[in-house]
Amino acid sequence: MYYSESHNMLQMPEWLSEYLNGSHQHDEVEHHCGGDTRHWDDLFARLANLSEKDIHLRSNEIKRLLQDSGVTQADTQELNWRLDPLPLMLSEADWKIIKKGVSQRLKLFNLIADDLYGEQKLIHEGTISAAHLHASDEYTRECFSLSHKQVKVTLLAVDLYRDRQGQFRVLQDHIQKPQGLGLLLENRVIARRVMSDEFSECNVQRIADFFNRFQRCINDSTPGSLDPRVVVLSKGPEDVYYSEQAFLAAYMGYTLVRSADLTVRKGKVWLKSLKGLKKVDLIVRWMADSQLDSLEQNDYSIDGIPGLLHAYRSKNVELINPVGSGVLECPSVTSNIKTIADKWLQEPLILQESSIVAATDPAAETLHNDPSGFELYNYADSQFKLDGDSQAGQIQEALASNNHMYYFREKPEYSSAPFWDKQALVARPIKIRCFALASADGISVLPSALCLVAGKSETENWIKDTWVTSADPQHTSVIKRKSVPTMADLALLDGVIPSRTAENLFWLGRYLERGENTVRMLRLLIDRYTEFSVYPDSNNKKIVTRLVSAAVNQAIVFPYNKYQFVEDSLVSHIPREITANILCDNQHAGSLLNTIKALVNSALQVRDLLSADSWRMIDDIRDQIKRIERLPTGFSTRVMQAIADQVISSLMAFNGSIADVMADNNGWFMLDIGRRVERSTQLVQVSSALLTEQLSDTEQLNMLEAVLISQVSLITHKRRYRMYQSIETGLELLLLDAQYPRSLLYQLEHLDHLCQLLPSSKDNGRYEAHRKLLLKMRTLCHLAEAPQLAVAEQKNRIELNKAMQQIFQLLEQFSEVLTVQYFSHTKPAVSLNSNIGSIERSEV
Amino acid sequence: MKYKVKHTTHYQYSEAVSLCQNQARLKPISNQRQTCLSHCIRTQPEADYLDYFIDYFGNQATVFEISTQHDELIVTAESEVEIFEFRERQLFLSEEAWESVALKIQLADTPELLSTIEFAQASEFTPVSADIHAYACQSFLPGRALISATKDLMARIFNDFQYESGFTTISTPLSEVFAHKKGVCQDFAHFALACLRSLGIPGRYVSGYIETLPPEGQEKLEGADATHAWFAVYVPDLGWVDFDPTNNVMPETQHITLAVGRDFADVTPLKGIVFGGGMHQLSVAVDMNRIEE
Repeated sequence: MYYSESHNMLQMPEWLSEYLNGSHQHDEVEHHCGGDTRHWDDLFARLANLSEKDIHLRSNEIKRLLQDSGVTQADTQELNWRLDPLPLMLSEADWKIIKKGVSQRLKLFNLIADDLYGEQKLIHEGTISAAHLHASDEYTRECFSLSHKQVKVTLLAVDLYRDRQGQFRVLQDHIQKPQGLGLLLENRVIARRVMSDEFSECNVQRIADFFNRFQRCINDSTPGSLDPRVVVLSKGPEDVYYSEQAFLAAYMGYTLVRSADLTVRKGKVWLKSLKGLKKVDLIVRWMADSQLDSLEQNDYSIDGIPGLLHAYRSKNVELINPVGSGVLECPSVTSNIKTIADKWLQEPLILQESSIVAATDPAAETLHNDPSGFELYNYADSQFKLDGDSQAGQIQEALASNNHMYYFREKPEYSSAPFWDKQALVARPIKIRCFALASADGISVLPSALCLVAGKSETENWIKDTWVTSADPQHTSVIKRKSVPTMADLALLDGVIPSRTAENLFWLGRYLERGENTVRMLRLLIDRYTEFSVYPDSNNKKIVTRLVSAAVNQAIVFPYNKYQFVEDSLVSHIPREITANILCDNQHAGSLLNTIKALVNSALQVRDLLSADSWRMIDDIRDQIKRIERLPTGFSTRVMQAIADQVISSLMAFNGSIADVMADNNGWFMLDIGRRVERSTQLVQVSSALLTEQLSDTEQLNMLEAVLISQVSLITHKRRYRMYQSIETGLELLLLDAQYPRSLLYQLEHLDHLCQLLPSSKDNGRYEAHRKLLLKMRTLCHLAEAPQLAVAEQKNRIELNKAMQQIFQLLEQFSEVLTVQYFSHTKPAVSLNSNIGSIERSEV
Repeated sequence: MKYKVKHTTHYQYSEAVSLCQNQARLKPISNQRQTCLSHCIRTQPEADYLDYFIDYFGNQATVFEISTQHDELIVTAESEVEIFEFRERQLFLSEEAWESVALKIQLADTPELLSTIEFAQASEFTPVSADIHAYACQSFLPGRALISATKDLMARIFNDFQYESGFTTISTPLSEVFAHKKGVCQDFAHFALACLRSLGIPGRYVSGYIETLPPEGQEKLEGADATHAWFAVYVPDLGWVDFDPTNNVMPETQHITLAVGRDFADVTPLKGIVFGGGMHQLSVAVDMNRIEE
């Protein structure tokens, strides 16, 4: 029955009726082989009140929310998820079949895994061909030496589609990395927000319970440990699913780690945290089987953790999903699952693949020449797929060599669903990814699915939330939190953060401060030279020359070189060009562009610690990077100023957004340490570059004013010293005032305070190396007197210069000591293999 | 025949190593040819963690970890092995043609035959090509008995290939070994396996030791014996039969088997991941002495 025939189209808004009246062959709403489509009624009844514009607004709202959440972002490969405002509706009847089918599949998988890594009845009885299975990389021989047979799949993701007869069919299984759960959760959060009324009207089944079960299942998986530490292992921002993994980790309250954060010692897995090594009990891994252990496994993987498999073998750590579960994704297994269901469960397989035929089968003969409508698969290689319509030549080539490794599978004929694209609803083919969990209480299926556009582009993916309607009223309780705090919560409180995270926070702090300083310097330069070009006053000339010199040799911006006077700097260097370089020179490490790029990168590494609000600011900064990169040559000073303004507001907003969460005990103080180190460095360098030359009184005050402006201290200085302003008062305020929040000494005192939060190995009350360095610097400042620093010999303030250089070097050492002591547990690993064979032919 | 074997692997690093994690396959396997009577592994500096497991192919893997800072690592494996008299007569009982063996593998229906299938498949170090297949076919003439054909293949490799240490490394592709007809025992074993596998016959890689005898009248030098590698072919009803193409012999009582696998990657005697270390130098010494005739 066509939806448009059974409903009064005149009651529908135009944007909807237009779609429904279109000619769809096989659509979820309009028609799927006479199937019931009443489950869309409630949704459409609600939507009837919405105009085209309303839908458009919601679509934009979603775009914004998705961007804020960061789910749409990945570092290297942009994977743009586009969440559609309209959900996919699934009837209760359809859901019953899916639920039963997915449960059955997970149950079968666990029986199969048990057998393949155990008795191998399936091979001995000839159900699965040994030649096919043994040739596949996913057949994990390491699993045979496990003392415990526990290749037990906990989480399964399976892609389904609806065929033309209205049956759901299996497209693909995801078991090593059941990706998409975080994305689904994120979608639901957003969809519920944007479509809140519709959501409650449609009686949609809730998903929170599934996640609670998942969490319980994780905690139950480590029975030996009362206080299990769970980590989520990700490949990092290079993985297109990184944001999703970070989201899921944050939602469930587990520490997100990368392989360099973990180490194996004495057969156990440890997290390299700021407070030393902490034992890890369970790893939720988003990494393939073959990449887990770079020592034991033959394919050397930089993401591997040397020794992990033996720790697993010794039952000292659990893995979800377990090692070796990838074999279940192999076509040699999945193509036979129907037979296995018949044999072992004595029941028909509920969710089947489309029909398959072995390449060696006489029935496939015609397909060799004309494979249209089919796809060619390799039993041993789950990645292999050739399209019969577009790759017939390659198919013949493949079959010519080794045809017993291949089989044909009928191409899926996806149903379509309406997507809101720009101004109208457009039909796109869809598949749905369902999730199931096997725990002690049995198998549960997530009552929703990730609805994805099937086939086509990998870079732009349209997704939908899937709503399973239910006749039973849904519980209104949102998310039932467990009564006992999860161990992961405790882990956060306990300040166990990976050293790498600490290091990234430290750098994030430095880049934030560096970005801010660069903008201020940029503004100052622009300001001074525009003034100078209008009023070429000789008093100003000296100052502008010195400023430009300091900018040219990068003494007042990173990398904070030693100041050198540049002859005729105003003639040979066009100030506009210098500022443009500071803004956007790719080659200049300290340019604003490179600084904020590095900043975004650091932020990405601590993605799971950032709130949505903080992330929005990072996102703005990304936009600004793009704008800077797209600037045409010869852009005006006005444009430069506008960009500088935007960047600094984003930086300030970001600072504001993290101010609340910067509790001392979860590592955020590392960001503050970074920020203060950077600020100190910069204060020291600016003072030595701009204030060490004695100038005439007027010039001196002008120069001091410039420096004070760059340090946001002009007003304080004026207020405090009124008519007594001099170089001495300037130095006093900027360097020696222990109570003024922008002074050097204040930074050093504060650093000392922050460093006490770092774990210490000294228990006899003595200072650690980094605090000793701080003590030296603080002492230098405390003992110094401003008038003495201001004394000049031959116009040169030797004392000031000397003090500044000393502190500069001490700051560098301080940064190095921190790195060695707290961050660098991650020396590069080198793989060694002894080689056989340097013998001479022996006479035997 | 009983032997005592001492296998010393010595790493020297240019920079200090703070941590190293290792897996060794240095314990001689026990099978129908030999029994390992005793075995121990010592390291210097001493390992602070040492454990072992039996791998998929039945080899014992020793896992150890050293977290004492060091710039030199010595791993010493000492074993006593008894080698049984070779049942050569049985070989003559098997006159089965190689095609018949290949067909049996293809139609494998017993657990034993099924378990040999993966040894008939090309692997990372034994890629199969048309050239290699053609080379193999010159020995594997139609109707020829598997053992006689394999013997012929072994003899041809011995004659056609030149033993030259240093010409190849573990990453030299087999095609290059074939093109230059040069290499070491490991390359010859891989090449022979590629030949067998191109015909669908199961072959496995064997790592081990070989006893060397000093020229008459001279004392045997310390460390003069060597780590060695050869291959074995699967003969139905007999099991795995060893062939040493480097020396053109069928190993009898002078070869000790350490471990077996599909190729070198499965049996690497000692592999490790070190943190730090810079450049390293490796030297290996083996002493294999008869303790009982």
